[in-house]
Amino acid sequence: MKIIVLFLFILSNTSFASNVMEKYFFLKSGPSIASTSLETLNTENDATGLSLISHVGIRYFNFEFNITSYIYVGLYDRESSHDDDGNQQAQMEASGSKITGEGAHRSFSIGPTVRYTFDYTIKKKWRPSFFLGPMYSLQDFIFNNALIDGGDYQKGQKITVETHGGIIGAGLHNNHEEYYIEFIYAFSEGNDLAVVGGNKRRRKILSKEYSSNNMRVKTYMINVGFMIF
Amino acid sequence: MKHLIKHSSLVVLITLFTCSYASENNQKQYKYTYKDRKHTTKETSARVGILYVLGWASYVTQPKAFNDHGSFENYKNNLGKLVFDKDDPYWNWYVHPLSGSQLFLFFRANGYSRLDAFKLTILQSALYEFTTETYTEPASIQDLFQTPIIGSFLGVGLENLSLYFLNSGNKFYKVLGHIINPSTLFWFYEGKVEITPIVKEKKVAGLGLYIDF
Repeated sequence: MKIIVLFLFILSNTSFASNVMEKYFFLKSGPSIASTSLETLNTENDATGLSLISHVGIRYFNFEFNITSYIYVGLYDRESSHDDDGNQQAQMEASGSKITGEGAHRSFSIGPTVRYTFDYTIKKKWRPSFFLGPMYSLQDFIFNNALIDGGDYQKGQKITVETHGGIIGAGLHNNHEEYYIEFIYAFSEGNDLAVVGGNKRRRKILSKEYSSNNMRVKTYMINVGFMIF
Repeated sequence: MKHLIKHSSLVVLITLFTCSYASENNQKQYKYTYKDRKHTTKETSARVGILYVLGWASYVTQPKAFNDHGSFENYKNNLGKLVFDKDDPYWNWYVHPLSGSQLFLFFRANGYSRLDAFKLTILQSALYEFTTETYTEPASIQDLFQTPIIGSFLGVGLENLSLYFLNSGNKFYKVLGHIINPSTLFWFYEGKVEITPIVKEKKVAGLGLYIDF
């Protein structure tokens, strides 16, 4: 993660960038529709949400070295917690509690990626490219309506899980690279969980644990983006 | 106290806005734009330095956070650490990108190109996260990225929208333009162009543009 910071810091050095990288430095960003599949314990939740994806980086011939990031917001429901026999199963475990409920699922993901853009064009306008890289994510869950079985977890507390995985995408840029469309698949998993209390203005970490939720998040995104500069 | 700071900031902003607006001679007409120019290292360092000091000042004037959660022991422990913060979208998706957009617009108002304003916004955010906020908490990955990146993305949109409003000729829109881009109100804004009607003999008319640096 410190490499990412170092990368951002070097990019921000004006004199260096002005002299050497001026034509190669860029920021592109755009909204996307996302479909997420979230596995926790023995349940699977499918949801559709929205995300905003940004790539900031430098270009070197056909390669781009980026810091790619996306924020995602979607819903989390309890429909998925029923097994084949109709019995309800817990969706998450935190602070010794078994939780079943519905609410909001939000995430922030970031990681270094490499993109390669091909020289040939499709219909004389679109240049194909693909990119990949590792991703580090923080998944946030806030249950509006939850059934809590045992333990110390209380309603209103937020559950966060740090996950890590990868991202891969393929896209088409127009010739002048003013806009593009991308198809992206991101995958991550993790068990580093924290229960967060407090209010919306000031959150406080109440407990941290290595949970047994075995969280796996798969996200498919269709992104339409623009070259900002 | 936080509310007091928030309200007094609002009062200062409204006062500045009113003074600036009232001082404009209604006879004069202006075109609002951005003019990029080269800056010396001294100029850039001075601007970054002033914002850095203002960052500390804004932090110190939040006694609850500063006194309750801050210490030099914390500073030493947090220095160089980088974590995912557990803040709500109120901070990570609204406050930080919004403050990043205003940083971006501050540098734009000072005559920096979009790219240079973006890079300086990254630098300013990194300085704040790594050397100021560490007094109370470790640097946050989300803040470090979302403040300058989404902030600049938002800043470009606010810049275009504010220019449209400011040049619309409609007073309500003009107020709106200044509200979303307050840097256009201050003395350091370099893109305010005075339009002077020129009427010559032999029925030749035109518009003169005057830029004051």
